[in-house]
Amino acid sequence: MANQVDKSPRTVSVIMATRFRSHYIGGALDSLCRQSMMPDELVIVDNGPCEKTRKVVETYQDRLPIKYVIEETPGVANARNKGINLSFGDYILFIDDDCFADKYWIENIVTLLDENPDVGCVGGDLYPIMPENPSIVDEFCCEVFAKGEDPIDLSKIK
Amino acid sequence: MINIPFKKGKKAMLITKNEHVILQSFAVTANAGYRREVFKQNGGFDNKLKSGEDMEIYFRMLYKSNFKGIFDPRCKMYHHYRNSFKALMKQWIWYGKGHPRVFCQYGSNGIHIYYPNLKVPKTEVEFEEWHALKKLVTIPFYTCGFIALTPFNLFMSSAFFAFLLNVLGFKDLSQYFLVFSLFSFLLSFFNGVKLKYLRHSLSYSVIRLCLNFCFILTGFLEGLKMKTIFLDISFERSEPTHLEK
Repeated sequence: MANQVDKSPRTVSVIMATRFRSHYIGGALDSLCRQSMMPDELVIVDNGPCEKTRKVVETYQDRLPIKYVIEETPGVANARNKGINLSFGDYILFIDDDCFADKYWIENIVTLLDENPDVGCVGGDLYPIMPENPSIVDEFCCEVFAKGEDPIDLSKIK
Repeated sequence: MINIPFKKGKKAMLITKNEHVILQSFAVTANAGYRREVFKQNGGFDNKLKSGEDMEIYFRMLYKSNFKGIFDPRCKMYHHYRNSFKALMKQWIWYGKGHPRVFCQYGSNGIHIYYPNLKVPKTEVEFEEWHALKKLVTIPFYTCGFIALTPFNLFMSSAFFAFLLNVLGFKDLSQYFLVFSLFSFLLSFFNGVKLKYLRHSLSYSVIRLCLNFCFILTGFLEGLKMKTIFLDISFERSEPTHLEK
């Protein structure tokens, strides 16, 4: 496989589908503000239109190139398809509303897609976030689903 | 499989057509990057699926176009898990509903029986061996099916057979199944238990059992609708996503 690095400018869109998660979405947007490579656009598709989410998103309007749209039909597939149709980027990155992206997340994915022209999709790993006051269910998730990775404390990253 | 040099001894893994169904390796949409051409060529997400639409588009990309998928743990995403038992159950029921549809579409005909937990691969060589082991039986049936013989599936099915035989009057035979069920339960219990959470092992086992039960039962019932025998691997499997040299 010959790696041909394409030097032509390419655009990056990040798509986030959200539904009633106004308490987490701030964290996800924070993490996108801290990226080493900024996206050219961020499409937020609200699948359960909610005033709280809209207000949180509005506070980030000046820091991120946000495009906020509403998809009334329930279903995360519908929401993401709408996001794809409305975005313009050559690379389409997906993030969930309850996630917190690593600082180099966008840069790593974009570099991999640049370097490997035959690769259509890059997937990465999910690491658990330990909540402040973990219940038994939280501890279970962090320890059993985490494949041996230690849960991280968000306050230390910020 | 092509490996890309990687920090901390971890490697990126290229996942090809043959491997994906067994490993269930795909890019979850919480952390994925696609080229726009993938959607141009293959269309968008399948909105008929309640869950597993990210898996479906990934498999569609591998099968219908010439793109490959790559997994790289350097692309890190931190993630909140469901924080209540009810939400967690709901999530695994959704997974159970989504999986058989995707597997029916992209699995091949015949019943595949796997034993993925026999030995958890740690190195590349072990991974290759493990891969060779996975197809124990392939019966050319009309319908397609998927059975993973994990300790949990063995435990549930032998307990069910023990009950069935007891009802039918084969008490002696029923006892053997019961013993086997107990054995596979212990196997399941010790398989994934790490020392650091032994203190909670009982409550964890209960949560584990409930989630596995929800997932496998809904998956099985959904599979029947598709005329498929579907017993999934449940989450206790260890995915060889972190191959170390």
